[in-house]
Formats: sequence, C-alpha cells, structure tokens
Amino acid sequence: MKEFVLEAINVSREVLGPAGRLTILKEVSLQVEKGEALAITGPSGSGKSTLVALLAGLDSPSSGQIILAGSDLGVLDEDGRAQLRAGRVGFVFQSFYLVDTLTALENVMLPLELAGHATPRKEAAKWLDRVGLADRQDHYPRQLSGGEQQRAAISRAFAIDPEILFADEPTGNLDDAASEQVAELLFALCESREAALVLVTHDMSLAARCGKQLRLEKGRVIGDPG
Amino acid sequence: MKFSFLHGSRQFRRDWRSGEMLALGGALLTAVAAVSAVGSFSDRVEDSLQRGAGEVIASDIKLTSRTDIPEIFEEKAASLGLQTARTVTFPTVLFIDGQTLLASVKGVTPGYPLRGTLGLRKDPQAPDLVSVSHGPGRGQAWVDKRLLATLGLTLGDRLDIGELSFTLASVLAYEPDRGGQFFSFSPRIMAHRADIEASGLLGPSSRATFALLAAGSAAEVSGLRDFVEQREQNEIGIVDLPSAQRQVGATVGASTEFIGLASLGTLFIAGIAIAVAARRYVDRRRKQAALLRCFGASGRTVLLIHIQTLLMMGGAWGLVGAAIGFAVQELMTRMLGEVFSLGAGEAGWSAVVISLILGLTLLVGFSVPELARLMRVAPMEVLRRTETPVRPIRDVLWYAVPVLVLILLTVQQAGQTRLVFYVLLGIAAALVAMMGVSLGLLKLMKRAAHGVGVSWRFGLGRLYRDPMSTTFQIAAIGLGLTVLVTLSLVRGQLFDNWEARVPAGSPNFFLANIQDFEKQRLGGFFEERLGETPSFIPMATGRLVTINGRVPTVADYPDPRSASRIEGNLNFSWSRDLPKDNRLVSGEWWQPGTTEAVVSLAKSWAEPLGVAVGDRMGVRVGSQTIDARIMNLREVRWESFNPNFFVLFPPAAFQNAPHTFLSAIRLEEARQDELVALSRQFPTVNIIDIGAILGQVRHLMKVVGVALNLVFGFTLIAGAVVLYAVMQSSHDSRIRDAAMLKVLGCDRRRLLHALNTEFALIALIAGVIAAGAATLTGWLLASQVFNLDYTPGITVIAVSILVSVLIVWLVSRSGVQTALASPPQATLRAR
Repeated sequence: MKEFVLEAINVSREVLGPAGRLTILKEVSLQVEKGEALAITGPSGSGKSTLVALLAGLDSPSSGQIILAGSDLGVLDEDGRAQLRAGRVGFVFQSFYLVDTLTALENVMLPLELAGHATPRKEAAKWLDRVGLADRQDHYPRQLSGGEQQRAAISRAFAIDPEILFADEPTGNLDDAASEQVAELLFALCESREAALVLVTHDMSLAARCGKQLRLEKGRVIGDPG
Repeated sequence: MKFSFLHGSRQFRRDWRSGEMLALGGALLTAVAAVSAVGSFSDRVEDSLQRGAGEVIASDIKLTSRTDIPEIFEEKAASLGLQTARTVTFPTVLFIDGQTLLASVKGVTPGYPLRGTLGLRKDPQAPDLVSVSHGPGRGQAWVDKRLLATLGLTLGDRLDIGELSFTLASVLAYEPDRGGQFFSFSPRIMAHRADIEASGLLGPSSRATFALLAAGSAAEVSGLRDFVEQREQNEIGIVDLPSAQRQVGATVGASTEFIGLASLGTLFIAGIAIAVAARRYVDRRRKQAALLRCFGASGRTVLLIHIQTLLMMGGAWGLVGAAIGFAVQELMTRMLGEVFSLGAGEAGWSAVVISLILGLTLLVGFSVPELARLMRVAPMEVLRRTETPVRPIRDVLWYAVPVLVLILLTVQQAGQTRLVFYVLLGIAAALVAMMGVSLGLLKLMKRAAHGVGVSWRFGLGRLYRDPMSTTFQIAAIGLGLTVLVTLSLVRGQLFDNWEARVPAGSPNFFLANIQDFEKQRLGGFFEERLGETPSFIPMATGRLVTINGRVPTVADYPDPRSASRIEGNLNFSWSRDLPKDNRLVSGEWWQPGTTEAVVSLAKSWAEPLGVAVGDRMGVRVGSQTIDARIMNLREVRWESFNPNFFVLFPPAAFQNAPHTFLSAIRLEEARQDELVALSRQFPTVNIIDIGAILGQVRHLMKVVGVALNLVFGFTLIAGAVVLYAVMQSSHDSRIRDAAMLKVLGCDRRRLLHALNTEFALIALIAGVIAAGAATLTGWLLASQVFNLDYTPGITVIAVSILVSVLIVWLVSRSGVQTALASPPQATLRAR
C-alpha cells in the first residue's frame, strides 16, 4: 500500500470574470508519495500557481477532492487548514517573502514558534548554519543577496521538518550560480528529511531532477504525470 | 498567545518608524495630549476651588446680607459654641496720582478666616507663601500684587482709603473664600474691619456685602441654620458648604466645558487619522499576514499580533502625549492663574491616566475595523495578489462603536445633547461640503491647466487619480484650519467690532448706591462741574421665592446658571416705559400706571429657569412678597453701557421697598480728577470704572483666547496628522511614479517641481476652503449670535492659505525627500 502525502482527485477551479465563468483548472488529479518530488511545469497563465495554492490549502477548489497529509481539505475551514499546515507543510516562494522587519534568524523562527516548538531560536540557528548563513543570522532581508534570502527561506521551510514542501519558482529570481546552489540545497534537504516536494518551475533542467512531472496547459494536464 | 505577543513586540521594535506607524502614533499622541492637557487643567481648577471644603467659604456656614448682620445671630452662634468672624466687602475706585483703579475692599475681624489660611508674601517677588490664620492688624492693609504694579506702589508705602491712611504691609496672594468670585476682576485690599468702618466708606445702607462666618461641629452649624431660618429674615442669605460648592462648580463647569468640547473635537479628528493610517498599515501587512496564514497561524492569531503591536506603539506614544499634555496644562495654569483665582491647585494624575486609557481605546476602536481585514487575508496572496475582498457592512459598522463612545463622552462633557448634535452635524456637513468644493476646484484646475508642462500634469494627475482620497485630505486639513482661523482671527475681529459699537459718548462710569436724599445734591454737582444732567434709576434687592407657586431648588434646574438666580440676591428696577436699549421678544409692555402684579424679564435670565410669558414668579423684598405674572421677555443691548436690569417691575409694584439709585456718566480722561471731589463729597456712592472693567474684560478674553488657541492647536495638529496619514497612504504610488519618471529621464529639478505642484495645490485649495468656511462661520456668529456687522478681512484669507501651505510643506517634506532619493532601479525592483 503506497503512502500518499498529497492526493488530488478531479480538482477544478473556476472563477467568475467579466465575460462569465472562466475555468482556470480542469479536472486535475495527481498523487505524491512520501519523499517523492513532483514538478509542475507549463507556460505562464497555465494554472500552475492556482494548482499549488489549492494543493497547499491556500485556496479552495470549485470541485474535486484534495487530501493533504491524510486530511481531506474540503471538510476543513480556513483555520482548520491553517492548523494542518502549521508544522507539517513548508513553503518556498519565488520572491522569498522574508518579513522585512525581522532578521534572518527571526524569519526562520516564525513557523517554529507558530508550531509551538520548544526551542525555536536554537533550532532556527541550527538551520541557518546548515544553509551556510550562520554568520548572517542577525542580518535583515535587505542586507542579504537574493541567493542568501532564498537560502534563509529554505531553512525557514525545513525548520519545522515538513512532510511536504511546496516551492513556487524557487530559482526564478536568482542568477545561475545562486540558482544552482539553491536547487542543490532544496533537493538535498528533501532527500535527507524524506519530505515530499511539489515544485513549480519554468526551468526544465530543474523539473528533470524531480521523480515525477506534470505539465499544465490552459488549466489541463497534458500527458500522464510520470 | 505567547507567539502573538513575541511576534507583536518584535514587529513593534522594528516597525515603529514606518510612516503609517508614525501617523498612528502621531494621532494617538495628539489625542492623549489634548485630553490630558484639558483634563488635568479642569481637575486642577476644580481641585483648587474645592480644596478643603470649608475653605471655599472660610468657615462652615456664612450668613450674608446687604446690611450688617444683627448682633443676635452672632450671640446665638456663640451660645451654640461656634467660632465667629465678620467680614464686609465692597468695590471702590482708588485715585493715586491721576490713576484710577477699581478695587475690592474687604474688612475682616481678627478671627478671619475660620477655615483655611491666608497666603501672604512679604516681598512681592518671593516664591514662598507665608500662611497665616488671622486678618491684618489695625492700620495695615494687605493687597493684591496687581494693585502694587498698577498704582506703582511698593510694600511699606501708604494708601488712602476713604478718610483713613493704611500701611501696605503684605502682598495678599491667597484668600480661601475668594473662589466664589471666580473671575477676580478687581484687586483686593484687605484691612481690619474696624478700620474700614472708620474710613467713612460704609454708609447706613451701603452697597457692601456683610457676612457673619461661623465654624464648629455639624450639630452646632445646623442649630444656627435653623435659628436663621426660623426668623424668616429673607435679606439674610445662608451659604453652607453644599451651596457654595454648587455655585463654584457651576462657574468652573461653564468655563471648562467649552474647552472640554474642543478637546473632544480633536479626538474625532484623531480618530479619522487613526482609521486612515490603519488602512495603510493593513495594506502594507497583507503579504505578511498571508505568509503567517500559510505557516498555519489562525486569523485570530494574526489579529492579536497586530492589536498587540499597536497597543505597544500606543503605550509608548501615549506616554509621550500625556507628558506633553501635562506640560501644556502647566502652561495654561500659569497663564490663566492670573485670571482665575486659582491658588496652587494640585496637579492630579487621574486625568493623565484617563487620557491614556481613552487614547488606547480610540486607537483600538478606530483601527480594529481595518485590522479585521487582516484576519481574512487569503493565504493565497503569497502566490498572487488577490482581489481585495469587498468590505462587509459589518466592518463599517465597527466604526459605530468608537463613534458612539465619543458621542456619549461629548454629551457627558457638554451636558447638552442638542448642542452636541448640532456641533457633530455641523462638522459632518462641513466635511462633506468641503469635499464637494475641493472636488469642484480640482476639476476647475484640471480644465484650466490644459496644455501645461509635464510637472504640472503629473502633480495634477496624481491629485485627480483618486479624487475621493484627495478631497478627503483637503477637507481634513481645511476643517482643522477653519477652527483655528475662526477662533484666532474672527474672535479678534468680533471683539474689535463689539468695542467699536459702544457708541461714542457712552458712559464710562457707573455711580451706585445713591440714596434718595443724595439725588438732588449729586445732580447739582454734575450740572455745576460737568454741565450734565444725570438720570437716576432705582434699584432694589430681593430674593426669588417662588416659580409658579412652588419654592424653587437648585436640584430642580439642571442649567448651572440657574443656581445664582435661585440662591443669590435679585437686583431689580422698575420702569414705566420699555427702556431704550431693550427690545420686546415676546409678550407686551404694560400700560403706564398699571397696578397689576406683572414683571418683565430679560430673555437670557428667564431661559435657564425655563419660564415664559404667562408663568408666575414670586419676589420678596423685606416683608413684602409679590407673585407677579411674567408679562413679557426682553432682549437687552448690554453693550450700550447704560444701566439695565434683568428683572423690571411696573413702578407701582415695589414703590415702598428700600432702594437706592444708579446713575451713569461720561467723563473724559482729562476730567477724571472730578471723581476725587465726588468721592469726597459722596463717600458712600460707589464709583465703578466701566472703562477699567472693559480693559480687564479685554485682557481676560486675550488670555482665555490664548488658552483656547492652545487647545484648538491640538485640533489643527490632529488635522495635520490626518493629512500625514492620507499622504502616507499615497506614498508608495508616489515613489513608484517618481521612479518611473526618473527611468523616463525626468531630472531631479522637474521631479521636485512635479511633487511640489501636487502639495501646493492641496495647500492652496485647503487654505481657500478654510478661509471661506471661517468667514462664513464668523458671519453666522456675528449675525445670528452677536448681532454685529461683520466684514470679512483679506487677512483671514491670507493667513489661512499661509498656514495651510506651511503645514502641508512640513508634512510633505519627508515623502518628497524619499521620492527624490530613491534610486529608480531599486524602487521598481522592490515593488
């Protein structure tokens, strides 16, 4: 029996636009096992970000079912989904989204504190050390380079030891060298922590490093994930 | 909870200098400072007046009368075991080397004061008071410092009062029972009562007020009160602690009420500033809230974090505000100490604490409706900006809570629901009208500026992009400015006008306490020395005993002005015809020779008692009581400076009542020496220098005006904070626009020109609107309230625009500098 960390069954998302009902995603189904990596690719506007948002419980589908870490997201309300994410789901964003007014260390402490970790400071420092930012922990985001910011964001995502990590174009804002460094870190950590990875990317070489690939075009899955 | 506190405090430490936090802090600081300044000041005034209950009347019970209190009462008091003292007080005009000064003389027996102490200074400049619990010795006079300064005298000099000469022994700095006369127009001279009796100034039926003071146990005091009441001597008034405090309270209340209303106005404007700044605070933290939601924080946790952050910020700014407020009230107390007989009132801390609590409530009340939006930020926003959710009506209704609390506070402060309603309606209408006018002016400018250069187009375009927000900021600053300009300029103008309306040749001296037998001699004196024939107006003193058959009590009449009418002496006159400075507003004048029991009242006197034409009013003089029907109400032009009365009867009503006469004369300064001769020939006639009183009123208005401006200054600062908050809300887009212009090759000079255009237009429109509104308010006040001609001055317009430009310039500088300094590449990448 396979253990799925994430499962989506016939998930669709529609919105009401000025020209009537608009389908953004149409009957998408996928499965991600523990420790498995899934790349979601596709051109701009194909529905990648919408799909990730639905899979992570940041938004609700118009139809279909999503089971994240064993819980059916459809029966949970907003706060219930938030509770599920706390301590079990990690995020890495294209624009890093570090809180400007917090130091690197405090940014990493943030999800730990939310998850009620006993020693958030110590744990956060350990993770910054792991991504090579031990000497930058008291720096504010604006004092870090793009690559450093993303490494801080990755340690923030892994600090809670998530079962699954969602990464939305994690190298999209970085130069080649920094991209390579961040990608290495991301895959290495996923592997060592046995965390599943859902990676949204335009970068086909990055996608190729994932065990599974899913291509979206105009909200539909093209071909079989695999 | 622990997380939200930790995160909240971290946010506060890092974020307190951000524009929206500064705007929130500034609004809170202004509100707390205004409330603590006004609150502490009111507390202090009331405290100084009510400090040591017995001190207010320098005894436990005080019997007052226009004639000397019969011995029998003092004997009774002594037999009951009460301590006693006697005082007599009357106004007189002093003449020293051609200078005249209206002074208030008080003769006291050695036992005075029975409660409290007198504060003396042996050297006018000495800071410390010497407390004594006895009056001056024979041949000595203790005087106000003001008297020495005005007459150029020093301690040790001699001063002639009537037929006696006194040594000026001490400066009298504090007198416990002077609180009842809140506004101390005339400086005090205190001397031994026996000396005053020997001075020849007290005639058999003098206008002086005599008092018998008594102090002892509650039972003894009660025994004396019963004794006086049983004897039904109506000319003797009884002032005990509750009634003294009531009168003092009414005067203090009326004076501080207006200032209190002003500070609440500031609170409303500060509330607007908080709401505006909170909006930007929320907009700038949406991403962060979405991130927290992504990490699993509940909506409640997000809300808690931000409420805690704001409370920490509020606490810090509030403390600074309270300190500023405290300093301002100290300044006001020092300024007004000269006018109010304050003594050294204790500066209390309760008002400061209340202002802090009120400030934080205001902060939470006006920011929570915005913060609630953070609760509902979709975690999805970390991936993509979602549409701002349409704000449910519930969010807007949240504002009803703080607004309602403020309205209730205002009503409680003002005590008049209708007045508050009108004021609020006025503010709301003014705000809407100002927004409408500014929108119109903006459109006009846009049309007029057709074909102008890029800088102008950019400046105008920015204003026009969000007309709602632009017109709101213009209206907010305009409203604050209107209040200040109206007060500081229009008030001055109204007063000048009022003074100018006093007809040339109108009397500048009143002669009071003229006996019937003196009329002919006095008339002769005038004709012979001044070539004038004076008229004599009768005046009697009684008491109001019934209203529509019922004995009135102060408790029945909430209007504080009614206390003096019910409990005090009633001075009235009689007249065959309607006096020339009077106008009937309801009812009819009586037929000449009527013997009917009717009375005519000044409208302003009748209002607090709630009586109208047809009601009945019982007045007692000696043993004679008349229950008269109110036949008409009059409006009196007091500024004519002719003797006028609130209460007038037909001549037949009280013709046998004991009475004296009043007269009024005009004496040019060169001929005022005649008064010396007059006072020697007629020592019991009181000469009242109206010119001096007018001067004192002018001085009083100036000082009170400065204090009021200080309070209204807070309103203007609150308006400026609103402006800052609104400008902050367009700050990001301004920086983005500036960056775009720079990318397109706009140089610094042109960019500065474009940004200055935006702010100059705001300042200009706000200034013009404020000038218009202030002029309109001034005209309304002049025509509807004061019945004066009012000519709007160019100064009002010039000053409004100037102040507006100054404020907008100050407030906009940091924004302009940031926009100019931001490198375009960094700005565009960051957004």
